Amino acid sequence: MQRIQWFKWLSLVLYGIPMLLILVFPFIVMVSTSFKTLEEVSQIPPTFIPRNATLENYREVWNIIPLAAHFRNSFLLGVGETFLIMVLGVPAAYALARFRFAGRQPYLIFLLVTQMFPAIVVVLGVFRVVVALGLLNNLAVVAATAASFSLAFCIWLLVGYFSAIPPEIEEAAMMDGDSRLGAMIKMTLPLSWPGLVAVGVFAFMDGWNEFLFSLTFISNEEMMPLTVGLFRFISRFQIQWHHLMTGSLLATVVAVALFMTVQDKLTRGMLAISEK
Amino acid sequence: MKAQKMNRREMLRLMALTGAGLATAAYVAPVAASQSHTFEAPNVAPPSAEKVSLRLMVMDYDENMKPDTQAVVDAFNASQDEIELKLEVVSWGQGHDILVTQISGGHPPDLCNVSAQWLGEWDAIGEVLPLDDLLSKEFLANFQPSSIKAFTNKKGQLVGMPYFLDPRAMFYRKDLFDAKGLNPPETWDDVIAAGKALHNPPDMIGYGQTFSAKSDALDYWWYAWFGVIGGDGNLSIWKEDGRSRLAEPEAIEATQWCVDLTQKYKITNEDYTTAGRDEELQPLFYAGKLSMLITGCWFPTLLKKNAPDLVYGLTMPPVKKAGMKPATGFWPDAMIIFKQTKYPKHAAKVLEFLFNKENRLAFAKQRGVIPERIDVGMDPEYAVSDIEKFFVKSLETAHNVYETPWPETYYQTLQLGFEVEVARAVAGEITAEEACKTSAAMIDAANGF
Repeated sequence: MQRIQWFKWLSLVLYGIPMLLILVFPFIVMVSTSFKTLEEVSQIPPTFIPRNATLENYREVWNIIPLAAHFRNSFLLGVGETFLIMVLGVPAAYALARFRFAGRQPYLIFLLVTQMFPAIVVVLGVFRVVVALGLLNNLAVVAATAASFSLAFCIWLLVGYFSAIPPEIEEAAMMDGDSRLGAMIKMTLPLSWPGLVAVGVFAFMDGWNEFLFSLTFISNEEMMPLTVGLFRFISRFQIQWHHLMTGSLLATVVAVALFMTVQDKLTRGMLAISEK
Repeated sequence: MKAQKMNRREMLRLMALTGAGLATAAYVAPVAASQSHTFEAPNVAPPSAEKVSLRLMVMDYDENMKPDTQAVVDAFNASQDEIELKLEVVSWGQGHDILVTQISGGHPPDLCNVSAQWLGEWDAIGEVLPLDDLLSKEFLANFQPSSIKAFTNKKGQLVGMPYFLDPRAMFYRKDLFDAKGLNPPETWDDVIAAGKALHNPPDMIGYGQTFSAKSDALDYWWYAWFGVIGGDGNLSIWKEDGRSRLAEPEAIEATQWCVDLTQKYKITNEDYTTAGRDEELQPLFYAGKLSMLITGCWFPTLLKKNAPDLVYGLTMPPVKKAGMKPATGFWPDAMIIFKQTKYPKHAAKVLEFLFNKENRLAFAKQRGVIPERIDVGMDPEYAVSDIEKFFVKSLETAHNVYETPWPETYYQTLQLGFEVEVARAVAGEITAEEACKTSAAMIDAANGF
């Protein structure tokens, strides 16, 4: 027992703490830079604790770029992608988990194959379609396009999850008079809650971090999400590091808050999925 | 666990639903497409009484680019009722990719400011509208001849208006030079002497240079080239027949100078393979840790903002020997009209407004850019300090570094190929001669020799 305790402490000191420091270091720099002036950011050697800490950056970033609009747009992309993935992915995964039909296995493999193409390969083709449809500067289009890329992965995750729930539970509900849809909604989905949360968070974060399609389809600054809007701080001859880090920190806080809220369900969901 | 088998009826129902969905989507898409614009961009006249909508895309030089340009766009929209100009601002880092996608997708902006390098690339594939028939000779007579020449292609067509001329100069710490009794760094010997006297890392770096992919890495080779050739020589790196001059002794000498600064005299920053000019070297100068840096005419504006108390001096890029006429260069940007525009005449009208004296004077003052309009350069409101006068005068010997008979291969061969070889030479992996000869052979082969 004593030896296990000793080993635990040693591994924490030798592995855990250095790893934590490496992982946290960029965030420390981000926090520190967000309180510095540009002059101090340029100082060599750099300072970790700002000498003249200022909150000005937190005031200025909202005025230099339409940060509030960027937040709203990123949120809408996250919600939109989550909605699409839930509406399309859950029934698809349910059908693939519950029914045996011709072409099921090839279909599952085909879904996997779609994950093997980087989005950049299709961006030009999709752009032409979006232009032809007159749908540029439309967040719904960005959300739909981004969702089409993560949908396959989410279906795969959910198929594994639904397969682990005994169909007898639904059969019992159907014998009590429920339709298949009713049985799915009343029995299977509540039991799949951790898995659905895991997929939902994944979809939301995918939408929140969406960059490529937003960059390509959106030129109106008021419609840009955070990922593209923050680029405005990188101009040709100067990078506004202090503003860039402040904006990035604010964007990160939202993601961290979301994770903290659903951390428990997310961990359980991912663990359950990985066990299938 | 046991999965259920889908019965035939359910299967058919599902297939029917999917088919109906696909059929609807297939029907809706072409209808919507036919209602929106097509990929071909015919030169059509707008219906009368309807405003023509044009897109102006600008790459931002600094954080004020958007409000400053928006003010010009608002003024234009207010000045007439025929055209509605819409502004889009994008970062330089994303600009090329966005434009390539939009050009390929049949949806480029009507007007855009672009690097001369991109201009060459797109002119070569016929995507840029020649301006000769759209702009009058009287209007063009207002501009510095060197700036108009910079955007005249090998067919003799004017394909862009000079939007951002950025001649380069040597910025040095005058206070330190004066304290040590050093000559301003006007010759290579001056640079070596000052570097030896001042280089004391990490507190002070003698001379800043970089050959990393992060920056316009070939810049520092060009400065050496200007020093070898001088203002009276032929600054073009192309022979009459279109072959590269990079294997000539002057090019090797220029490369050797870059190598010697780092390897022999050891007076440069150590991160010359990773540093960026804008990301590391300019901030190093603000921080008072760099004594000599060649950079562009935008730098005084940044210095004023970021290091207002720094005492600095300006000279032309140093020449190889005392008595030579110094030379400099610019990496210019142009405002262009894309060939896919539906309204070239209206776009030209916008161009004339953007390039009137009032707007270009404001732009020059806002960006610290050297005016391409002769009257702006002479305006007492612009040339208020010795710095502006210095840069206006430097245009006399400024060479357009993007000048090339081979715009199609410029980026791949010179910008990517040669810069890698120079960086390897500076890092000591190969000799300067090997770097130049390998690159010359590669460039000539790519251009069909």
